[in-house]
Amino acid sequence: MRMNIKKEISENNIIILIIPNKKYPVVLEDTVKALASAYSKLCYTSLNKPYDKLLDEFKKSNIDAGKFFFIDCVSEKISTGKNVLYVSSPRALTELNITMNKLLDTGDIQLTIFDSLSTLLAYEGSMTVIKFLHSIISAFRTYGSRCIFTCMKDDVNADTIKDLKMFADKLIEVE
Amino acid sequence: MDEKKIMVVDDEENLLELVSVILMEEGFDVITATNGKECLDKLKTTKPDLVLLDMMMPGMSGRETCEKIRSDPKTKDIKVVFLTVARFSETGKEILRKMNVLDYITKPFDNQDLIKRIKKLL
Repeated sequence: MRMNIKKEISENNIIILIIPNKKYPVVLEDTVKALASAYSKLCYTSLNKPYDKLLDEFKKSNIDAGKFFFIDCVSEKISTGKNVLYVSSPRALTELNITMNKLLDTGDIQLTIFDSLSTLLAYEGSMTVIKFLHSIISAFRTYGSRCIFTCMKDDVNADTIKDLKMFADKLIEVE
Repeated sequence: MDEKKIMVVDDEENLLELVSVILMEEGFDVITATNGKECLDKLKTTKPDLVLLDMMMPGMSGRETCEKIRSDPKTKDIKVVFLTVARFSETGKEILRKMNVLDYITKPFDNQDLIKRIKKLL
């Protein structure tokens, strides 16, 4: 991976990472690994993989899941586990917003990995996604926390990228 | 004073009406549009002194609308101000400067502040 994500996030609190579709799993894994080595209190918001599967993947990749709090928008569970909160659906943006705000309000989250804007864009129009993003970015800024939003390149058009740039500190397009 | 013409573009019709009333009471001639496409269509037949543009509109965003205004030789010199709930990042503010956006006013706004800032630009 050419970029140094640890350096980038230390200089820019809010980053949008546009990743070529074919490279997405590898770049995401490298990103999570790098950030888990630099931060001790992270949040992983997943809109496309259930908590149980993420734990398996983290284990296989030797990523310490104990450093993470998870928000699972896929499993459709109501109960909450030790380090996981469930959101009823990736389309439940208000619920997701409230959940993320509650978590940020604990003051325990240094950095969030939001996986991914692609899933949001699959369900909602670009302006709905941009409004949600703007709202959640405001929360990160209020709580002095950092966030990396990931997105697959083929899932976002040029105009949406330009609009997202208006609110993020940096937009990185991985080659 | 000469009656200056202002185009207000916002998808929230209540806000569009409110801003229109505020500006008309100050003697401005006001034209409205509820989205970016309608704004660009109206600019083909009328040339306002200033466009007051919302950022987050469905269809065409305010940023895209502004880019199209700037890319058309007939409209490229029109003054543009953003009126928006959005809090732009430093990157976003730089993009606004590059598009020659003169100012951005955040919602909710103070009526007198809105008038003062618009008058300053005209």
